[in-house]
Amino acid sequence: METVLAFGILWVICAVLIVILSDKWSTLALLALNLIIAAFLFTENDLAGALVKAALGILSPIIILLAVVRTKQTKPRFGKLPMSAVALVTLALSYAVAFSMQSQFPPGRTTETYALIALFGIAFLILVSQRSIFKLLLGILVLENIGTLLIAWGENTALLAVVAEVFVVLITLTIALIALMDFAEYGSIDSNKLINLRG
Amino acid sequence: MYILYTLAIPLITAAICALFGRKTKIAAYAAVAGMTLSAVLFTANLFVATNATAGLDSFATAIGLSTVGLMVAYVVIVIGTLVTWFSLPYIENPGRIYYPLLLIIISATAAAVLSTNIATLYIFLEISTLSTAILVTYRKGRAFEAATKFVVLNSIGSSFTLIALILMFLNYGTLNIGSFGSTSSNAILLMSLFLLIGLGTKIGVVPMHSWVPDTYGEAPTPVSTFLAGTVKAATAFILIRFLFALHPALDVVLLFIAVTAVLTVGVGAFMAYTQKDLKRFLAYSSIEQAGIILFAIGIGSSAALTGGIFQIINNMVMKSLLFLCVGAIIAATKQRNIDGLGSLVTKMPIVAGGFLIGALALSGIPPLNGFISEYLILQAGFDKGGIYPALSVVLLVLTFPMFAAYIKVFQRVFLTVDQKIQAPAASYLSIYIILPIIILSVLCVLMGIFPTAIIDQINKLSLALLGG
Repeated sequence: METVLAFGILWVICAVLIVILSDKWSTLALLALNLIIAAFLFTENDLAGALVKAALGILSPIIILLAVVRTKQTKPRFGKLPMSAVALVTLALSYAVAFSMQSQFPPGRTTETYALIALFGIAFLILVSQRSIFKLLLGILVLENIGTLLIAWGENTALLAVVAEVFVVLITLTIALIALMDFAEYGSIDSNKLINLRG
Repeated sequence: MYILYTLAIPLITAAICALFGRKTKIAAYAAVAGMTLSAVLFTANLFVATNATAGLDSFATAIGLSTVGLMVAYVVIVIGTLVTWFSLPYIENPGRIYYPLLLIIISATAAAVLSTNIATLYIFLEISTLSTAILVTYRKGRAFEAATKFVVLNSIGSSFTLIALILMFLNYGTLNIGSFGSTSSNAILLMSLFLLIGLGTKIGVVPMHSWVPDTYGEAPTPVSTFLAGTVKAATAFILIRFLFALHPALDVVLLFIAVTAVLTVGVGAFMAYTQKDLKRFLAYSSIEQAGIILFAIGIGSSAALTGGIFQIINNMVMKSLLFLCVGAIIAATKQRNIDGLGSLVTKMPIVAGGFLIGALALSGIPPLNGFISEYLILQAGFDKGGIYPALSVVLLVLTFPMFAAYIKVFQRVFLTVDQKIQAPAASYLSIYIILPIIILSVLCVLMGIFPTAIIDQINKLSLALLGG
């Protein structure tokens, strides 16, 4: 239980860092999150899952980093301090929701489920609070990581894990490519500036 | 089994088109030939199976599919073929990616409809989504913005779908949809909500609909046609299959879906009425149609599901018809602003006829196909009791602005005399543009007058979905 708790805390810290930091540093936080998840799967004796996550999990952050360095950092909607406060409130709310549903959790997975609900809360926060297309992509990837961790709960899921991870890389590649097209067209990857089609 | 091979033809053709690269004319004709061959072989397979002693049902069961699944996949291939024909004169510079990606989307959508395994279904849905995202950027400029909204929102939807599918696997211990047993109501609630958010985003359900007008507006018209008419309806069919594979369906989930559906119809209808752009107008009308299909799911009775699945098949035909008519107008006049158009009925009578048939069918006017399915859904709503009759009345009232919008657009675009509008050049009225419009118009009428054969098959599936 202590191991799961330690990993759970690390996942949540990485996710919170994605909320607060700039595009470049939050991509590195995602890389750390993916590697920590791979290490967790290894400790859970899911060798196939750990290998898949370690091998394919580094591709998405690399793709995003390559795209980020070709664009300009978007001015965040909120400062670091307010975002940190909101992230803490989100975590508190997530844990409150998790606590209220604790009796429904799968047996032996209580700590992990708490961490997953917290990750879900933070992913939601990223998706609703960020302007940068790359930050939105990182929010999507945090959501996909919840899927990865859930897959590890099943047995004989190596193929499913590979499929999910391959599509995570493809989604990253597609969104990064389109973000670069946006940057070439609008000179920005700020989703709030994509307003030509509103009406 | 041969019928499944026909789905591989578009994929092989996509590879051939990609190989031709810059020789775009050859790639275009290869795409048309490949899709036509696929449709012809699919038709021949269905014809042989229907006339065999064992019948179509035994044929479908033997390959592990439902007859209705085969029918929906068949309509996907037929509409895909018509869209490819339409692309031939419409897409002047297809480049390297247009035809390969279009064929991949068509093939992946048909395969997703036929999938009985949640892993393969996820793969085909994702292939379709990612290929669409790239294809939406085809016109460049503002299309990048549309593609961004499409890919970000649909990827969020994909994440929710993935989590729902994994939860299904963990709860039922199988990837096969047909082998799902029963599980706790809390698990069903969670899976249903994730599924509804995930697939609902791809269908364009309010409030996850904001990508729809931008994407349908900016994508090349044949792509918009396939997305609005077919991909959306096929996804709704997949949602029905999944939602009712989760036993027992929860009343609270169904009620939530029904209320969301009414909201979706309202937003779609009112926003459509205010649009000046023909493609955005049709995009909002497709949101309204998604709401009607969702309402059938929310009622959840076998009669409602029969109406809902028939509406899905009808939507493929009706919506594709309207989009192709709009495509023909844009090709002929280079104009998509409703106020900049007029008096086209004399210049484009076939297109005017097609648009009128499509608009009346979508409005549920007898004897066209939309009337039958919408009548079945509303009747099921009134029969269900509780709050559903009231919701049915609200839904019916909310469809009036949509009907008014169709009349307004038809009157403005086709009947209003405007000397400023140039007569369309004859070259635009290519047979590849006109023939799909005629075929879909005839289908709207025939499916309205002779709906029994289709409804009987759908009824069997509805009863099976509800465990009857």
